[in-house]
Amino acid sequence: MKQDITVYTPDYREKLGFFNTIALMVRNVLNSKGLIYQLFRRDFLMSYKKSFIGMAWILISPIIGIVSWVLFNATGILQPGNVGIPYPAFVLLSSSVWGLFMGIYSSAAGTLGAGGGFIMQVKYPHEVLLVKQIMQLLAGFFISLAVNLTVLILFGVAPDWKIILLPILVLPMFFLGAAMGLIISVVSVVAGDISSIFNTLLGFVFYATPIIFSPFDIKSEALRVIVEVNPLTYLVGGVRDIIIYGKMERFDLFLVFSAVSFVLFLISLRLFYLSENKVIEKMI
Amino acid sequence: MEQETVIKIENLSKKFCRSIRRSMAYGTADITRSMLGIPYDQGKLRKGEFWSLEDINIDIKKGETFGLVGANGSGKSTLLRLINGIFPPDKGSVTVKGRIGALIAVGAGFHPHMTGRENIHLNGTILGMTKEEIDARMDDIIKFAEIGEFLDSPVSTYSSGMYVRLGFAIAIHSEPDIVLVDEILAVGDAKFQRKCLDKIREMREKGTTFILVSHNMQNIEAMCSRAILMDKGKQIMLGTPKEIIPVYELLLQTGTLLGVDTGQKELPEEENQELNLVFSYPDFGTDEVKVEHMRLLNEKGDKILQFNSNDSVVLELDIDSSIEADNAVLYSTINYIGDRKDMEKDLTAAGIQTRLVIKKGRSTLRLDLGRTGLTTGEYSVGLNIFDETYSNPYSQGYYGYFRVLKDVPTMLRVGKGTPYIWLDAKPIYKDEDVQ
Repeated sequence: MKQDITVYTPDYREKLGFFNTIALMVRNVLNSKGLIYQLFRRDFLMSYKKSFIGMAWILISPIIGIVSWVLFNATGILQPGNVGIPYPAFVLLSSSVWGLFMGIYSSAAGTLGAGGGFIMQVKYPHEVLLVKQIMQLLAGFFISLAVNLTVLILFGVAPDWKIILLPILVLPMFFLGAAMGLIISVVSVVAGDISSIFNTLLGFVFYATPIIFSPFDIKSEALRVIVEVNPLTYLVGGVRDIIIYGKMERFDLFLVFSAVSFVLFLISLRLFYLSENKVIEKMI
Repeated sequence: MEQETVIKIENLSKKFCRSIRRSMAYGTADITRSMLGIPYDQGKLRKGEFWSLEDINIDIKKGETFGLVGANGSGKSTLLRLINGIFPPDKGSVTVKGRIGALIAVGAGFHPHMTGRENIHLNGTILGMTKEEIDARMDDIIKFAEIGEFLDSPVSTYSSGMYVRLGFAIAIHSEPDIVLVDEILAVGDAKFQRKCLDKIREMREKGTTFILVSHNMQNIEAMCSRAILMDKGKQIMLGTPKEIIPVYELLLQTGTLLGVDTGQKELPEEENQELNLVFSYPDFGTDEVKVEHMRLLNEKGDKILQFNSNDSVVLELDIDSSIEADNAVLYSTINYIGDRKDMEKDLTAAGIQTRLVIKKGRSTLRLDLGRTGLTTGEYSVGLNIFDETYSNPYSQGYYGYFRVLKDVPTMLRVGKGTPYIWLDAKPIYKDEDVQ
């Protein structure tokens, strides 16, 4: 009779090597497809069950976002510079891609929290929570992307055919966002301040990334330098550029930061695996 | 044949911290260390930390039902979580052979807006079943849970009993090799509890191992082959339920293990020379009359725990009553303790059954036993105070222990003969005695 033997010692996780950890986590996720689906179903579909218009909220939120940016534009508060297409359409797409990045980060940061309710009761691999969180995010994202593209076409902007590459283009963004989120997910259990600081910082990064302005007409020298060294300029802005213009200004840097993000993601998986079981007991 | 060990717990220790702020600071330090790979000795306590489990050693065999007994906060649930691998140990190790199914909380992950059927899929998956397994066992689960037409209603509309029944039904049908049950049999009506216990027995015969946490000693006694008594994270005693339960009861009453009979023949070295509660039936009786102290007095009025066969003794009890009763019944026994491990097989050496007027508040009752003439040996005092219909005792329990020593032989017939030597003994109140 086949019987698995499990031994728990104080450092049983440390003993597993780096690549074995990654392999184990991938295996766990592949073996837990049913669990991921059930949790996704519970948290995504059920979250709309108590509202009258239900799923319509997925459409309403991006529309409200668009309207507010259009209003800002009409009042002339913002001086975005020439972006080549109608500004509201630019902002719309831009912020949608930025939103995806932030969404990936905050979903990953909610990995452990998402297990709330039974993380202390049942043993299961917590990496499946990350996958569930990302799935939940993507489901919302693709619905709002469809809305946005519809609006875009109404503005007379046809997206480039390269938009079909989107699933590949967002991967680096996913690696970076998930890497930061996974670490924050563990740290925030014991040090809530760290995640608050991090979230505030990301608010600044938003303005240091060419999301609501054009990267080409930056007046301030300091901001220009910041924008140039900011990886998100390439990972987020580059993706937006592919959709709108069909090309990326600095594809070379996009590749470099993609590779860095991938390595960071692998490291974050290992760190998550090492540290998460030390904080589960503090989740009460 | 020696059964194989499925759970081996060796020198297992786990520390916790009392202050939340400090606990979070230690947590931050711990994860920083583990992320940066800085070695650190986990086996030492830092300021404000305590061992919530200390040096636990247990071997649990395949097909065994093992009980965890202890007061609240003694570390039982923590131990279950370590066995399950939810918490990592700080010292020692846990080795588990086979798949663990936990019932640490029934209905883990239930979504209140999802129907019973949907939650069976959800919870079943969380417990490690595949979709095919769930579909195949669906009918059994529904039948066991007796939720009937509620199956397709959201579980938020369920009564708490139905909720628990459904949760238990799913968990028990996930057919793990080892089941951890954390005090969940306390809910549900008697009929369902019996059904659960029957199911556990059935699974046990098929070789499933159970670890049972319960405050219900009848369940522990009925189900478990062995149990461990825990107190403040320490393993106090490992033995059969019969050995452990009296010690546990005493521990609950006194909050301490001083002077506890732990199976040795020696008398407890009691400073105050009183008889302590050693056994009682939980949830039996109303507890409206509390026996605060019980003692034996010799002719000089000194407290004693041993006397000679022919000595005259008085049994004195301090009671605190929240009721008044004109027609209560005092039923008391003096029980000979064989090897002291088996309360039920105690021999009733003598008994008293008499009417009693109960006053409200504190009072002291005296029962003059005269010359007892009891045979040499050790005894406990069983004390029940019933209402006039004998249906619900106001108070019940066994108190112990005292020893009767061999006396000089005498031709005189002393005492009133055993058994039931004091059928005519009348309890009197101490203040009445004084007047």
